[in-house]
Parts: sequence; structure tokens; C-alpha cells
Amino acid sequence: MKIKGSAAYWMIFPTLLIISIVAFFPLFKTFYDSFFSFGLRPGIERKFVGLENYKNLLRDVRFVNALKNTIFFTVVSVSIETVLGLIVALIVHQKFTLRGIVRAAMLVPWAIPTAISSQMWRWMFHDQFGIMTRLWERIGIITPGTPILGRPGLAMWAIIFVDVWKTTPFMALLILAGLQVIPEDIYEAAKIDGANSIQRFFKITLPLVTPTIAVALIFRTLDALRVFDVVYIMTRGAVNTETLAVYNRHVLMDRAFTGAWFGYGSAISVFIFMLIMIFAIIYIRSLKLRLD
Amino acid sequence: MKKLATLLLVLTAIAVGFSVKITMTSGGVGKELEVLREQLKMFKQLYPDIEVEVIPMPDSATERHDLYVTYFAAGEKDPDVLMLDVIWSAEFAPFLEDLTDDYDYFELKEFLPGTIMSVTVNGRIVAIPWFTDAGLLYYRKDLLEKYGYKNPPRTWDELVEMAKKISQAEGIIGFVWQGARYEGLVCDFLEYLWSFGGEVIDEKGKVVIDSSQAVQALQFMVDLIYKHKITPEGVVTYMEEDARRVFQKGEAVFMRNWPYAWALLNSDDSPVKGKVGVAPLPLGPGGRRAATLGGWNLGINKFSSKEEKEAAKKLIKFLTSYEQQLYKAIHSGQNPTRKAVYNDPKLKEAAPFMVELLSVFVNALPRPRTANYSELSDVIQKYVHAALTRQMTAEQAIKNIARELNFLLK
Amino acid sequence: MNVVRKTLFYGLVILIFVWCVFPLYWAFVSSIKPDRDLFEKNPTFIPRRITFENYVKVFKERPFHVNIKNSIIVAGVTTILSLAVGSLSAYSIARIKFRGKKIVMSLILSVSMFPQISILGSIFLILRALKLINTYTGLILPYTAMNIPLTVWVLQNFFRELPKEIEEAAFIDGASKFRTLWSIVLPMSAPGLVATGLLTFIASWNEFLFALTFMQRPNLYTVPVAIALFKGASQYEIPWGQLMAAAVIVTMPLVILVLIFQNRIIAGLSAGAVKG
Repeated sequence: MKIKGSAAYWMIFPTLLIISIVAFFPLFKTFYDSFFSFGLRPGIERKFVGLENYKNLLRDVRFVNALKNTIFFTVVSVSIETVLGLIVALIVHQKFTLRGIVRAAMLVPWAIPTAISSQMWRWMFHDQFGIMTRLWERIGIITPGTPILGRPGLAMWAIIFVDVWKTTPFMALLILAGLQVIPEDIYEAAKIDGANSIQRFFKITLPLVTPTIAVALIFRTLDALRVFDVVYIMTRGAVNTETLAVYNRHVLMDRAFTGAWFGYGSAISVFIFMLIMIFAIIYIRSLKLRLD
Repeated sequence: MKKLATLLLVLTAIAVGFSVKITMTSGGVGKELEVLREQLKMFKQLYPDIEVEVIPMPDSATERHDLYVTYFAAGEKDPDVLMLDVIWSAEFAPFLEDLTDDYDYFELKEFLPGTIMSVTVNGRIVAIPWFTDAGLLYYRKDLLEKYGYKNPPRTWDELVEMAKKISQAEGIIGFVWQGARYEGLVCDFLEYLWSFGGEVIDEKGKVVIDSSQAVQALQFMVDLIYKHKITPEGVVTYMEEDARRVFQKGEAVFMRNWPYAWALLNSDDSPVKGKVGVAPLPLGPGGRRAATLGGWNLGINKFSSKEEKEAAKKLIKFLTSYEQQLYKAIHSGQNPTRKAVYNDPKLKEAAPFMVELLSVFVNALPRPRTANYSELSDVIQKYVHAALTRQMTAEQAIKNIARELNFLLK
Repeated sequence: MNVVRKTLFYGLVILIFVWCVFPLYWAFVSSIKPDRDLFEKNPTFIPRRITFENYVKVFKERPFHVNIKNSIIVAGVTTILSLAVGSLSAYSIARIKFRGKKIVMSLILSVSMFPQISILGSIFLILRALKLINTYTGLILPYTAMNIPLTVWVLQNFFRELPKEIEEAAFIDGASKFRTLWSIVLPMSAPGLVATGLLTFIASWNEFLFALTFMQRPNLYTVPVAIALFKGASQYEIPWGQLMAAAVIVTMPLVILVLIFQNRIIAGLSAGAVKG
């Protein structure tokens, strides 16, 4: 079908216009601003400071902590979500009655806006009346009277728990889609050859579903690195749960009118961007290798 | 008829042209709002061409603060007159009308020195003190008498000695204060810090909290709990009301709290009614005593029009005048910022307790005046609380505070 | 052995079901308990008494209906705009050869990788300069930009799958690209549009960071922000019963919507994951 290419440029134009103005331009501006010191407070002058903001990142105790918290959160939640997601996918892949209902139920955590489910969980983790608090007490994870969302350490685990709750079913559905593409005959042939279920899993299922898992893993990791909603709502970043995005927003917005922090905040934004990009590139590269 | 109509029209036009409408923010709770409305009626009689509309504010100071930030960020022209917490002066200074040249107009030399300090930012006056508050020492005068103490403790060491003796003999707590991780903890901490001769930042804005006096002050607080054992470990969850409840039940010898507690402690169903005395907080080793200043000021929006600002000045002068401060003290129990009012016989009659507070207020100091005070407070809260719960030593805590404040206040 | 395995299996299935649904159930139960039952140390799974006063209070004591309206407007306009702009691009990518297509695709997809926090500051400054803070437009524009990659991606997949003959027939008949798109392709890809529209609507509805930052007046909050910043009479009290009622009010339609269209949605999401 020979169609003149020029029409295409017309059709692409609105999209490119919007993303240029609202995505690319702000990104470049953030990079640019990171070399300055300025704020929105009247009387504060905009000064060029070169790499000063970046040098300050390491001197900033709060930034280093946010980085540590973010990495911890990412590694732990993504690992748990992937493993649990795979298990759940394998279970739901089996044929059983009411499978449709379970599969539908698995969409519920994803359908509930994070802001809302975070409040629901905050209620369930309420230090006096929360049902999860009671449960953790019964199991023995905590001593009675411990405010889960008020303790450094515990609070982060509660947040990880909430994230795992929301994302595991979603991961499971994605992996399930990958499982369902695997043709039955391969399994049949393997059974005939005498392979048991464990062998079938490791030799057939796992290799064939790995690309799907890998893609899901990329997106989950990138999402986890920029986590904001659940942390902000459950603890506002207090008791050592502050992640990079939460701290970044604090520096930009809460200090916008009290000092000259906008440039420094932009530097943090650039750091986060680079971090995400590096991970994205690593993953995409390794994905390409696998597919080849 | 036509002439009359025209005359009326012209007069109305003149009246409308000359009348000004200004808006003012105020707390929306009970007595405070009621008293304000009465005062505004009196104001209207003095200045019939100025109309004042009250905008009730959320109860919580944090919410008011955030609302103000939204207004100023957008350059809103309303409200014209703003009720400002004593700790917000530095933060909102660029958005408030400079009133330095009106020092005499507002008769500021009549005001308590601490309150004037709280509205002075970089040498400029940005608001006028409206009513004030300060931390003070409550004590059981009946118990002190019982054990032979004629006067309340003059120094912290005396307080420790009295508290130990009486609390052990009576089987009650020695001393309660506010040790939870919130703004109130900073108020308490600063009182120890200042009385031990320490300071957070100096006049030039340099961080000077890294001092031996600061460590001693914090250590003293820690010792109250773990060494002298006159303060319960639970104090690290106490805010104002928690401490008051303990003291009101008769379960403590001493309490540090704000003046508001007095009325409650002497209500008819209070077990300690009539048994309570008040005194300024004790002297530290440096021979200095200090109380943390609380209270509210009135500022004028920089974005308002010239006429609105003029009207606003008149309103503020009225509300902070001697008569109005006396009225407010008598009717809503809020402490005047003018020294002379404390000697007024009508005040002595209606609220004798308040008269005794003058000695407290004269020594009251404002918290550090920086634009990002709330972050500064948060840093202090974090580490002081950590020291009080023994997650770190007093020395480590002070060092950490200094390091983070140095970064924050670059 | 088989019985053990079966029991274990069904046990896990039930666990999965409870895992997914319990928070919603608990929120609902909490919202209909009277306050004195709600604030007790050992909460009951089944309420002893029921009241719907929280559902009334949610609308009377705060402008929650206004927040719902805000969310509908923002998410709705974003969806329409994203679909309109996105389908144009998706069609040209799917059907038209042009130079630089790969670059354009990469640019569009890369936007979905942008951490929102990294452009938050700059977008805030831009919106502030254009006086678009606290306006619907101020949210709709960033939302559209964020959603275009998804829209383009999913739609171009759908368009590619459509049989080319119908379009070619129209082209031979002299129809322009736009007409072909409008009267032939779009109706044929209704399922794809619905799926994409739903995903976009849900994503915009759920968005929190931008909404929190660009809408600062309580009467302009979108639903997630209103729920996150739910306030009570005093600054320390949160009216949990009401909050749970608000959560249920907003969640139920979303859940129902998602369940009705679940196949489409999963198809849309999987198209992203499986095809890589």
C-alpha cells in the first residue's frame, strides 16, 4: 500500500507537540535548573552554581537515607512480588471451577487507586484499632501496643506489604498471559517422555515464561524506584521510610517558598532520572540478549 | 424630588467611594470568634467607613499555615489582615507589609520584648503581637508546704531535690512535661537549652547549637527520666493535655505547661483545685531562666491595595490597643502583649492569675526565626526524642542536630 | 496424596481470593459500623450493628461530590484527548511508512519511562508561569502527555491487526487518510478504543503526585487527593468510618467497571507485556 508519507507527519504532530511541551521540555529544564540555586521566595536571586548541587547530594544525610530506603524497598518488594506472582500464576493457570471468579478478583487490588488502598491499609494498620495490627500481634511479629506505622523498620515492612498486596496479583496476571501462550503439546510430549511436574516446570515452563517475567520485572523495578503514593500516604516518609521521590517532592515543594532549594531539588530529580534510565537500559540490553 | 434623589445618589457614591472593605483571618472556635465579633462592632463605631469581614480558619495551626502558603504563592490580595502564629514571621516575611516605620504608631515600646523579637525579621518589623503565651512551672503548693519548702524551686537542681523528696514520700511522680515527638518538645527543649546558656542559631543566623551547654541541657532532660527518675518514661508520648491530666489528678508534684491549664486545674471538679501555684521556670547553671514564647501576631498582606492596607493598620492598632487587650484578656483569657495591662486593677479582679504571669512573659523568648522553621523544628524533634528514648546519647543527638541544621541553613 | 494436594491447592486458591478482596470487604464493613463499634480493640469481622450515616456524612460534612466531579472532568477530558491524539499517531505508525518512524516510536515510548517526580518541579514552574495551577487544564495537559505512550502503543497494535483490505478499498475509492481513519478504522477498532480509553481513564483517575501538587485548594482536589488528605474535626482525629465510606463509594464503580471489561483490560495490558 503506497501512501504518501507526509500525511503521517500531520497525524504525528499533535502527539509530538504535547509530549515536547509537557514531557521533554520540562525534563531539559530540570537538567538545566540543577546547575542553579534558586527558589520561589521573593528576594532570592537565581545563581549559577555549577556542580555544587550534585556535590551536596552526598553530604545530605537525608538524601543518602532516601536512596538506601528506595533500594531496599525496590529489591525486597520486586523479589517478593515476582516469586509470589509466579506461584499465583501457576495456580490460576490450572483449570478449576470458579477460576473465572478468582481471576476477576485478582484485578481488584489493581483497580483500587493506590491512594485509596493506602488509606484502607493505613486503617488496617492503625496502632489501636487496626485489624492487621491485631493479626501481627497474634502471630507474634510484634509485641502488643507497638505502633507499626510509628516504628522505624516495621513501618517500611508494612509499606512493602501493601505494595506486594497490590502488585502481586497484577504480576500474576501478566505472567499468566505468558503461561497461556505456551502450547499444550509441548507438555504432552514431555509427559510422554516421562518428565515429572517439577522437571516440566524447570525445563519447559520457566524458560518459556522468562521473557514475560523479564518484561514485567523491568516495569516493576522502574515503578518501585519511583514509588511515592503508598509511602506518602502511609507515613509521609516519617520513621525512616522516606524514599527518593518523597524526599524530592519535599525539597521542591515544601521548601519552594522558604529558601533557595529548587535547584538542589532539580539535581535530585536528575539523579532519580539517571537512576531509572540506567536500570531501564540494563534491563533492555539483557532482555535483548535473552531473546536472541 | 429629582434634586433629593441626585443628592442621595451623590452622597451614596461618596460613602461607597470612601468606605473600605477588609478581610481578616481568625480562629473559628467558640469564645475567640465571639469576642472578636464584639470587638469588631466596637471598631465599626469608631470607623464606620471600614467594613471588616472575618474569614474563619481551620483549627489546626498546620492547616492554617498551609492555607497561607497557598494564598501567598498565588499572590492573593485577600485576606488583608492575617493571624500569624509566632513561629511563622520569618517564613512569611517577604509577603507581609513592612511595618518598621510604624513603630510609634503601634506604640511598640509598650510591648513585651520577646513578642517584639518574634515579629522582627532581619531588623524589619513584619507583624504586631496580638496575644501571647509562655511556658511556666506549675507546682503543688500544698505539698511543698507540707515538706517545709516556703518557695518554689529557684534552680533546676532545687527542683530535682524537691521533686525527689516529695515524690518518694508521697508515692507520686515528680515532674511532668511534654516529651512526645512534636513541636511542643522543641518548646520544652529550648527552655532547658537557653537556661543552660545554649542557643540554636546566633543573630547572624549561624548554627551554634554544637556546644557543651547544649549537651548538658539535653543530658539534664534525659537524667530527669533515667537518673533522677522524677519523670516517667511515658513522658516521651506526652503532649500538653497528657501532662495536665496527670498533674490534675494529683499524681505529680511539678508540671511544665502553658497558662491555659490554670483554669482547668482550678475548675470545680479538679482534685487539685486551690492547691496549685505558678512560677517562672527555674534558673539554669548559667543563672539564666527562659520560657518559650507562644502566641499570635497580626500581619498585613503585601498584595493588598493601599486603601486596604491603611484600613488594616487602623484595625490592628485598635485590636492591639490597651483597652482591647484588656477586654480580650478578661473575656477570652488570652494574654496581653502590652506590659501595662498586667497592672490593670480590672485584670487583677477578673483574672488574678494572669497578673502573676508578667514575670514569666518578660523572660519569654521566641523560637529561632528562620524561614524554614518547621524543618528546623523537625530536625530538633527527631534527635531530642531519640536521646530521650535512649536511641542515642545526648552528645550524638546534639552533633546530629548541628550537622543537619548546617546543611539546612546553608 | 491426591486429597492432600487438592486441599492444599484449594486452600491456596481461597487464600488468593481473600488476599485480593479482603481490604475492600474490611473497608465496607468499617464504613457501616457505628463509631463505638469501629473503635474497639478487637474488631469483629461481621458488624454487630449497621449504620449508613457515614455515607451521608461524607457528602454533608465535606464537598466530596465536588472532588468526584473534579476527577470525572479531569480523567474524562484526558481520555478523550489522549484517544483523539493517540489514535492519529497510532494509525500513522501502524499503516504508513515514513522516515524517522523508529525515532518517533522511541521518543513516544520513552515518555512512559520518565519518572514523574523528575519533571514535577519543572512542570510546576511552567504551569505557575502560565497561571494554570489550580485549574483543570493544569492537570489535563500533563496527564495527556503521560498517557499518550500507552494509547499509541495499544492502539497501534490493534490497528495493525485489522484486515488491510477494507482500508485499501476505501483508499482506492479516493478517501483520505483521515476519512479512512474516522469512518472505517475507528469503528472497527471500537474494542481497542474501549480498552485503551478505560486504561487511560483509570490511570488518570488514580494519579496522585501531580494532582497533589498542582491542585492545592480543597474544593479542587481530585478524589485520590481528597481521600489522602481526609481531615477530621481536630488535626489528630481522622474520621475513619467516613473515610472508609468515601473509599467504598469511589472504589465500587471502578471495580465494577474493571470487572465488566476485564477481558479487554487484560488483553490491553498483556499486549504490552507479552509482545515486549
